[in-house]
Amino acid sequence: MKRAAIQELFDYTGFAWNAIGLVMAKHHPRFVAQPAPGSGWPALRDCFGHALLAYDDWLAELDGMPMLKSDPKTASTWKEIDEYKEAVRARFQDYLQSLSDAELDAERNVNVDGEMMRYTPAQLLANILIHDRGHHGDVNTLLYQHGIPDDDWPWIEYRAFAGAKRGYS
Amino acid sequence: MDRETLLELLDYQDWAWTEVGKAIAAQEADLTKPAPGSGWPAVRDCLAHMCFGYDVWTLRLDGGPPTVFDPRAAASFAELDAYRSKVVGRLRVCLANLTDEALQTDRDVQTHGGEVLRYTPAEIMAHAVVHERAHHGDLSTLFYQLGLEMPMVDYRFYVDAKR
Repeated sequence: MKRAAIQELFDYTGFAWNAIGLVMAKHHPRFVAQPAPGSGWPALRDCFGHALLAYDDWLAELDGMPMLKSDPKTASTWKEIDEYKEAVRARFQDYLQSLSDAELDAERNVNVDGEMMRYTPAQLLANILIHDRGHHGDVNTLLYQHGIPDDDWPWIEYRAFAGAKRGYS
Repeated sequence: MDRETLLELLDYQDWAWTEVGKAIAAQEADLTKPAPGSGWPAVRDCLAHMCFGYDVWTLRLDGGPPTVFDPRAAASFAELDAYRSKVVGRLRVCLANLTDEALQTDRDVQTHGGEVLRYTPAEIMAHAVVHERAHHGDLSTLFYQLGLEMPMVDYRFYVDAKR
């Protein structure tokens, strides 16, 4: 995947995180830690944390620096999740910008749970963002289980992102 | 989003759909079994919705006749798969028929509420393909509720599969 496409998916997922944050702030910022049995996730924080830890974990492997010293799965408020999100996504953006186009598409060894595999940074950066998007459905399920009506769920479709850039409300 | 990215994401989604189908077959999953707690009546409804996104948006781009099939009434994954092949195939044809310039040119597009807004075909196609990916999360929770194992459909595994 080319740099422009990765950047677009990064911007889109950022839009989605902001929309999710607005819903969390409106309803109950402490919902993040409240149990939501039945989804497979103990609570929203575990789902949010999982999506964000993927940034942290893969970027640590790519840029050779340690993961951040915080665990989003122990967060008790949305604010804590939001701060971690800002940190890992800033790291993503910095890393992307640090690479030339040639470096972005150059295969390298990557340690995946102890197994050395070959990937390009572009492939893994795309994996992080597409992974993030893949958990939006889990978030909706968790909101449903907390009794939040679907009219209040964040509208995080790509069309909402494209419309926001055009000034549509 | 450019043509190359749209095609890559479509290929990825095709691969993921196939993996989901394999998991359903291997575990003899009942697509119509109620899964209370997810917001979806059953797995079938979620899968149908994922496909329907392509159908409705491509229709609004190519102006062709609607697909006469309600995927929420599908009795098997094979029926859903046939429906998806048809609607994704239609989107691919629509994409192939547009020049790069036309793909990025604003046009009037009718939306769900009947409102007409300006979008490029690329934006609408990106919307349809990214829409499908979000519902993998719903599928994961549905599979969990039914005691089934969700296949690994992360992009990285698609990259591996291509090799």
